[in-house]
Amino acid sequence: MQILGIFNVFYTYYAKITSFPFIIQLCIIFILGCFIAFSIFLAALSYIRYLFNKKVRKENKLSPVIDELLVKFLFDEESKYSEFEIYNEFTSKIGKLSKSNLNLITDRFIKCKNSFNFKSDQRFLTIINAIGLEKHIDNKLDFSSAFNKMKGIQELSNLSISTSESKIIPYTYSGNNQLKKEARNSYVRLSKNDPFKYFEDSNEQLNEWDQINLLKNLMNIENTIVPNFSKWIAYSKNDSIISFSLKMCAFFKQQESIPTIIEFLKTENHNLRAEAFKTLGELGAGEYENMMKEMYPNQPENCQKEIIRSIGKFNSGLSLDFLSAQYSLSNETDTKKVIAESILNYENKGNETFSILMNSEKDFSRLILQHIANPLIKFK
Amino acid sequence: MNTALIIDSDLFFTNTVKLFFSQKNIDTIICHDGMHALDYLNNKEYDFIICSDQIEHKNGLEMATLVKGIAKSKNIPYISIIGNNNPTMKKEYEKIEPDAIFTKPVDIQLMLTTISNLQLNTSSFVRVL
Repeated sequence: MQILGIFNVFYTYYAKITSFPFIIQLCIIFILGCFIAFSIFLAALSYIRYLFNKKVRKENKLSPVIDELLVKFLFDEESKYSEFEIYNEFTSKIGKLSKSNLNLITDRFIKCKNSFNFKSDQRFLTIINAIGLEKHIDNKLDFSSAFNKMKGIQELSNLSISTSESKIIPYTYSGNNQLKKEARNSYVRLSKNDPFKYFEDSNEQLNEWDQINLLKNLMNIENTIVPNFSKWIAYSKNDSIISFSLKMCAFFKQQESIPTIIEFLKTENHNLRAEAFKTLGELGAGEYENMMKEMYPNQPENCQKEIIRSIGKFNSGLSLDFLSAQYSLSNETDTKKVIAESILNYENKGNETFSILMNSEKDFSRLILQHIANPLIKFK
Repeated sequence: MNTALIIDSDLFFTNTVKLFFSQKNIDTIICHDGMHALDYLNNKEYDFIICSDQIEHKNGLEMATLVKGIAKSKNIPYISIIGNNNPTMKKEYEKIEPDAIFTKPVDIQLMLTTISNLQLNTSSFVRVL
């Protein structure tokens, strides 16, 4: 009877709605539809929020326990633990080694590996084998989305498991561009034989984020000496790899690459040429200062700025007249700013010249100099 | 019992070192923020300082200068921890001459041995990179 009553109520409303004009019916349906969609959206949002909070609570609860176990098994030099003991201890304190728990353990492991150096990798590998971490990461590589595969590759690379090299190789020629880049970046860190082999034949452009990742891997490289990047400056046909190599020559202070960079200045690509001038400045190649001054008038603006910055960095005391002359000849505000900054920081006489310029300039040009002289502005 | 003052924003690192030191009977005071470091340096009692370059509101070089400028802390073993393999940063740190420099990833056993040696002879400069 109750069901019939409810049916009756609905039917009454249905009958009422159908008695309305068509446009009103349409509006009612639209409003009801929006209401239902919004309710579903709110419910989904609440559920996602609930899952996230649950995950955070679990992480907060388990992370200190995992850290304690890692300290016990990795740093306790007096005791030796078997894989069975380690597995038992982990399962008794953390619970079942489910996917989510293993993900959390992997994160803590990576943090540990990045922060601490272990005398023996044996303990590290024993724990990985005991709790089946390698198999867990392998599963990510086998049947999952590209995102999970990339995550798996990153984890293998960060944990530097020796067998990882062979697992990553198939993905270095993947059809998915992002996955391929990730695999090649990780290969740099893991390969013991030829970590930079993909530099030779790579056609893909490395964006800035890829370059940051590559640098991160280079800084954590194990058992391999950082190579001399000048060979890629000389022979690579990929502009992004040349740009990265120039940056790396400066970062790792590879003085031996200076002759190659000087030769490279003949390139037609002015962006790369500007990068080369910048690298020469970072490397303190003061013996080429005169050559750079001679090249200055024929260069585009970005190269001119880098030449000025490099001369400023050489700080040889021989180029103050050149800088002052270029300041008065330049029409570009940005270039004037760079020259003024170089003059200000140029030896003791730079300050004097800067004061003379300040007194002689008016209006906007004077404002530029005041801006440069302001010590509170860090990035001018 | 020795007491270590650890100045670092990296929660994982500080907590793990604290756990490790507690097993070796070393007390730990942790400061996560460069803004409060001066308070800690002046008002807490400690036997050696471990300071990383990853601190909020101050960089490691500023911290090293601060530690060496305070009468209470300048003769106490001071260990700098650099976050990466940046050669420029290493040179900058060497100018300030902390008692020892470690690069992450840190060999914690070696760090402990270095601290013991430094406590026996505080004048030596050790570079472990």
